[in-house]
Amino acid sequence: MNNIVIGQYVHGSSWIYKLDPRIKISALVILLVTTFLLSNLFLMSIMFGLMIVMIFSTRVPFLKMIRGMKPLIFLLTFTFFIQIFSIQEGNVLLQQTMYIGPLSVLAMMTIVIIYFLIKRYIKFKIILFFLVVFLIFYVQAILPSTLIGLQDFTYEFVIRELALQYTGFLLLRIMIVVMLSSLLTFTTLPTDITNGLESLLRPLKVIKFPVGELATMLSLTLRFIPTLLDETQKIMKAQASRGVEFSESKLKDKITQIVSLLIPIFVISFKRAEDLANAMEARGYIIGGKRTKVDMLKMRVFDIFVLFVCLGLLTTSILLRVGVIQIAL
Amino acid sequence: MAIQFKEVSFSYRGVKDQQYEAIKDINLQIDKGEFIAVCGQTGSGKTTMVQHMNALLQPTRGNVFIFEHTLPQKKKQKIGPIRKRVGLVFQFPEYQLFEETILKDIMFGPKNFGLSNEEAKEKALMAAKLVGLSEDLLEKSPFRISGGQMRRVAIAGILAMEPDILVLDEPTRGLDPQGSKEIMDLFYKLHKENDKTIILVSHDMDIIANYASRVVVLDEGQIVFDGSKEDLFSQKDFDSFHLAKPKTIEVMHYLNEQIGIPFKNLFSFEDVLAYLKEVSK
Amino acid sequence: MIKIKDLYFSYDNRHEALKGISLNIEDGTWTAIVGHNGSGKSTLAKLLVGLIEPTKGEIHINDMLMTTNNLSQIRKHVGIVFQNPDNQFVGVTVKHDIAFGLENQQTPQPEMLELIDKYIKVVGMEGYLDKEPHQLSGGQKQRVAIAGALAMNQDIMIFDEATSMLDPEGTKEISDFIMELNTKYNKTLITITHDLEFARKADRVVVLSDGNIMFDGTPDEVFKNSSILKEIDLDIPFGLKLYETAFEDAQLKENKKLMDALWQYSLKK
Repeated sequence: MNNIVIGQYVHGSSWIYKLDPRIKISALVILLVTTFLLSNLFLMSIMFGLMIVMIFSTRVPFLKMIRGMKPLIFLLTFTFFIQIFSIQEGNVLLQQTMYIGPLSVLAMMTIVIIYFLIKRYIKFKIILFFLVVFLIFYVQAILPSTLIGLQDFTYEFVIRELALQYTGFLLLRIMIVVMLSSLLTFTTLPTDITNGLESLLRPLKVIKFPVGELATMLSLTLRFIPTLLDETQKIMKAQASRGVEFSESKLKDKITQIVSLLIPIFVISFKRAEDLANAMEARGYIIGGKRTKVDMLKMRVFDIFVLFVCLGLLTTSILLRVGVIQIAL
Repeated sequence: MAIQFKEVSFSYRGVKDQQYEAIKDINLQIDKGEFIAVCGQTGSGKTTMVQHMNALLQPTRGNVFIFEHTLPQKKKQKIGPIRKRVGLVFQFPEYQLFEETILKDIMFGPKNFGLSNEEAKEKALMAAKLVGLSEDLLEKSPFRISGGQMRRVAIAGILAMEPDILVLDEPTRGLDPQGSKEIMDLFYKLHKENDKTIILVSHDMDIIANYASRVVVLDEGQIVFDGSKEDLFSQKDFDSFHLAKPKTIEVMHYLNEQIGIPFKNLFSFEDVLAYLKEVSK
Repeated sequence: MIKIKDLYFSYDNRHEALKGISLNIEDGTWTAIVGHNGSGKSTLAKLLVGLIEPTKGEIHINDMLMTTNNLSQIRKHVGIVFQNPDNQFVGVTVKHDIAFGLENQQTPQPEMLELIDKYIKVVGMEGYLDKEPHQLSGGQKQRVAIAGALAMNQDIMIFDEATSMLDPEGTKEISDFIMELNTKYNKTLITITHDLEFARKADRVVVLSDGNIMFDGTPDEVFKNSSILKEIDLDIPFGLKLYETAFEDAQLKENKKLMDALWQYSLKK
């Protein structure tokens, strides 16, 4: 019973599903470059807005995309605080004296300990995380150790307008990158992505770059990922039956656990490589040989149209960057 | 009683987020010293059911009692003791070999259960002898021997743990007839001489007929027959189990129909021959 | 027509897998090659599709002498289905796997789609074109392999232990299909197996032992040598074994009615 399907393809029938994969890949690259050429929050917000509108028009499940950004939350928070402390110019939005002394340090440690203890019982971990971060700074503001007759180290916590703006800029940019990439993988079958890439890279054949072989390697990898996952699971069960406890985390044990999984998988894979080579050769595969393809990619007028729209956005972005066009903020 | 299943079901999330029930309302009692065969079509739930026997899987409903342990387990309990007493030999077990030498690989199981190097080595040597591996092989790499020998090494690795119960998931799959016979004879010897409880999952009705005494048949996750092999093959609705008839039973039926020789439940080639000689007098 | 003349093969100059095999196989016939593990049967299969080169001797396929230079030509006539269903399934989906051989032959795309459609029906897997291999059973994967081989329209098809790794359902699927290939499609078939029940259905049985041909004849002729076959670890089919063992027993031999019934039973299926 298998519940893995290769890739993250989500079924659908909107306009984006009808695009040639070569156009989709090219569009992604063009739009990413466009995004990275934008230089301020205002322009990034416009780009963000355009992307949101486009995504909604494709009717791809938005929530799924958002979930893909969860791992980035920590990184973004960290970036925010780096910006807060490094930007020294611009309007001040908030200024607060902060105290780091015995009292506040004690309070902070208590908060962190409570966080780790109750973490597993809370459903919305992200909200808890932000609450904890907020509290850590709040206690620094309201608990000077002078209350209990001791001294603190003090510093000024300043949030400047520019810091907020820059963080917002980064946040939107990362979101655009994730959304656009997800859009490609959600709406294009892995085989189509491979075919599209192969076709786009074909000009490289002139410099003897092995495009066809690369594509074959890529699709063989895709083909075997679910099979390998299955086999890894079976071997894990077999080793567990011999007393390996995979949930234990002593370093010495972890090494044995990994070795007991890796070596069998390697052995299976080498045998597989040999068998595959024989099978492929017997079926007439020749490295560097000419081959036809069962999937034919056809460009349509709509594809060209989409390409032009993307190129238009890119051009606008370049002109804005270079200063030919200026927008009054 | 060694193992008991009480109203056990196991379900999991399958494709498209649907709940899929692999086994349903399983009630089964296994006593020490039995030799039980578990059979049924592919997908009937055999592997799922036997993987509960060494706690690789835990029931989503109902309880499994393995000696003094109960599944599903409470959080703090250790699973190790169960895995030591119920040894599970997987299909194509040769894939689990990984150590530098054959001896080391056979020692792997015992060492994981806390035996010292010397103790583990002793058990490993004993197990190697049981499966018929010659001593000069023990220092070789497990990857430089034939497939049949690799399988023996894997089986020795489980025997060295000295489990009370042996669960064998299609141990003869991929072996030629001679290899099959040797492996099954070994398990039968362990059953008779060392009083090991054996649970055999197999598709091969001839092997089941030859070695098992009790048969449990699964169909679509449920037990549809649990009894002696003699009863199984004389069931009126035998065909509904989608199982082949052992060849010895088949020929007995044939001879009964064609020339009127009284039918007898016989399960080995030698027994059939002896019986034919008897009725020819 | 396959002509094998005095074929030798050694692995690494140490282990001699084949020691002078000579064999002719006529078009449209079904030959079963049997032998214990290590008898040289898989080596012979690989030699026939040119995956390895003989140390000595010649192989002629349809009057073409096999050399390292004409392997592409040879492979237009000889196809092979291997033992491990996963390790020969190349495509990401069923459609892509059947197409693989055709792509190598540079078949034009419209023709490829026609052939895929035709042969997916022949192997009874219509509707499975978009399925990925890990969603298929062993028997289904082997059926896809057969479809791919059929699509390449090779007149000789070799099955190297194609059912050894399958469960009984899968084994029956593929065995039945191989029999169909023999009757309906008139291919020259070579099945390599250690299942003598199945070998019995072939036109001819060649028994290999330690790199030499030990017996070569019709199934009935070959299986008469049950004691010698047992010595090389090959057990003849149950029904036949029962008949022959009874035949060697003075008392049972007298019972004509019994012997007749046993002989009839041995012919069944």
